[in-house]
Amino acid sequence: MIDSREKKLVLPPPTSYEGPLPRNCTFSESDWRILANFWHPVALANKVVNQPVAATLLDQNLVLYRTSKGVVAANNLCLHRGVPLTMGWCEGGEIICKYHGFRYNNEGQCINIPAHPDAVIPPKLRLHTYPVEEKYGLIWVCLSGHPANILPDVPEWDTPGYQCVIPEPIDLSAAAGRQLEGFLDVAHFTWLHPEIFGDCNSPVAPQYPVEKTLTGLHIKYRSEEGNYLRQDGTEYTPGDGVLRVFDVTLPFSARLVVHMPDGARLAILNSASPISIRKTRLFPVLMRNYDLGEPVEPFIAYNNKIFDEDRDVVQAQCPEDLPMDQMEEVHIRADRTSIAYRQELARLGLGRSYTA
Amino acid sequence: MIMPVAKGGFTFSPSDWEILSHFWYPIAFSHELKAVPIAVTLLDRKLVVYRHSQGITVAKNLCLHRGVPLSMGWVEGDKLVCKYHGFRYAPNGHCTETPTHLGVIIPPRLCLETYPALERYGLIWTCLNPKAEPLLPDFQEWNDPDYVQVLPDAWDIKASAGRQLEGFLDVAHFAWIHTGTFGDRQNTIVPRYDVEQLPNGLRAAYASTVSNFTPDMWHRAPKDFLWWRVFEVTLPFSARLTVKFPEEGRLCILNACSPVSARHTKLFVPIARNFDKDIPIDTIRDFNHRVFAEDQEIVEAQCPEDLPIDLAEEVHIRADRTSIEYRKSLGRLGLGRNYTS
Repeated sequence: MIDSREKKLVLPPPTSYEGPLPRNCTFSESDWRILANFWHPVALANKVVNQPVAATLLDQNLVLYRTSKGVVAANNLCLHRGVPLTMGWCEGGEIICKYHGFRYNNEGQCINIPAHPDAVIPPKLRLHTYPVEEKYGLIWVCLSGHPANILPDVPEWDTPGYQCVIPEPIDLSAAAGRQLEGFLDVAHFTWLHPEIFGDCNSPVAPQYPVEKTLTGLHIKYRSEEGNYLRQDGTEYTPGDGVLRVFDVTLPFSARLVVHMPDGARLAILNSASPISIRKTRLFPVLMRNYDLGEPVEPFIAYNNKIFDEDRDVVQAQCPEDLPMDQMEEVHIRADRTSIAYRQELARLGLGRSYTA
Repeated sequence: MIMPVAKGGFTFSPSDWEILSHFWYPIAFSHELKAVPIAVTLLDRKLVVYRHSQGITVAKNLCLHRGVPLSMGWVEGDKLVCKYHGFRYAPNGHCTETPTHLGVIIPPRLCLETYPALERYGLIWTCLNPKAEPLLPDFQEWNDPDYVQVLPDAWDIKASAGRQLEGFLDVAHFAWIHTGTFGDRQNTIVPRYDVEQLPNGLRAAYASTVSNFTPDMWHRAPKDFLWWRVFEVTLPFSARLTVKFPEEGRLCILNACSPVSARHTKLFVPIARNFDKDIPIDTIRDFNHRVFAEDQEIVEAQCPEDLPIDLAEEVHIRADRTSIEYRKSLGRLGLGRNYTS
């Protein structure tokens, strides 16, 4: 829910979902109930085709399967004898359990028990399912069933003249908050990515504004670091400078648009999906309005190199959970985004009961 | 939520452990037990087992002196010798010699805790509670000269014994899981059958048209032959299955689980049958290994890992009558009160 007068996210009441937490939940109960109120990506849409796909979100094991009414996300257990439905298969948009052939339809309702074809199937023989959205080539799920935020807004996805590429997701042994904050950090370019953004000749981060929005944060950052990959041979001078615009969608997504001097635009959606408290699956989506005739492999490889360089640092950060208390780490002027991001997460109520 | 976390190596709740310790379980093959100590684990307890001239000794697998497993040692003149300092233990567990100080008086408390042992159906059985009556499943065909006896390999399963045994009793999964061996995907319907409570277990008599032959031999049964499968459960984790083949053929399978820990089971399956006696033993063993592997994949994936004793935790169908009665019986023993995660 978004209250436009307040200009900030309004969470649904904490009583909105009182169901049980997943088994072996790694989050504190209050953090889990808050995070369950948001959309998180769980899979690439083009991987959920003919057969069931397993995913884990906030420690909840899920099965995803495609039906005539779209993708279904359900708890990954047959209700009869506790066998994961991902061991089974799909037939005609329905999912079949491997153990006894129980068949579930596009609403998760069991519609066939082959041992007793004539028996009346009780309505309660129905999988626990979750709301699903399919957008930006990703499958998004909200575990509480009461989404507190909209999906990130990525107009480039639907804009003619942009080439959209969905690389393989990247797994990190790190908290989603740490990953997203690393994506927003503007002071590390020349340190972690020297080959791409040049050596440490321009380490100074200019001052920049951070604005709170309905869905998160809006940041405009102009600097001299550049050297974006141009496969068509376009000359590119780092000194020309680039404008980077970040739009954060709380809690763990951000869209970055890089405005290059010649009108070229690179947009990246960085969505960090919290598998468990310290395990994250990053779903990047890449869009560009240049090099349209060029192969996409170098484009993907270039961005993967950046994500790989970031991952080494994010996985090593300690404490592993993003500190919500501003006193826990030291901040500099370049960290304005990070400070605001932590404030917003704290305002959602996260981190009340832990900071390792 | 109380999780059965292994603290100090204990994976069972104390009350479950106490209840399960009253029963007898197989721990090793007879033919493999020689005058060489072997290590086994039963209900998280580490045991040493060896054969001597007076029989079999089962004891805690630790020398009382410096905590070295006695299975690292050897047997000499019926006595178990610790590898570390040569402490020597008699078959009744008493230490009879400490070689460092020959002639000293050995205190009576220098005595291993030992457990009773029985040898039945090609297996060594034991019980951790010395007062418990030896209640073993009946399997007379093992000693019947009219039958051939087969011992498949022991099967290590990363699952609870209750889940494994219930899978053995399940009559609705043949068409789904055993299509690589004897099951028929076209024959899924489970006719009604009866389950009877027995003093120490259950008896389920199930008649259907599901053949127990592999598909290449289906022609050997008359058309519409009614296949009887009689399951007899000996609580908590053993069951024998008698399959009635055409022409008075009998196949008897003893599914005896050894609960190594709460989620680790060693399965022993002695088999006897009175027909096709010329088929090589290895062929029968290989076939059964394939059946075990088909079941193992499922049993190891089931969640929750512990068999739910509360019937409301999973959904039951008419074909699950045995499973329902089995869970009720385990509940009456008192199991599962402290956890079912």
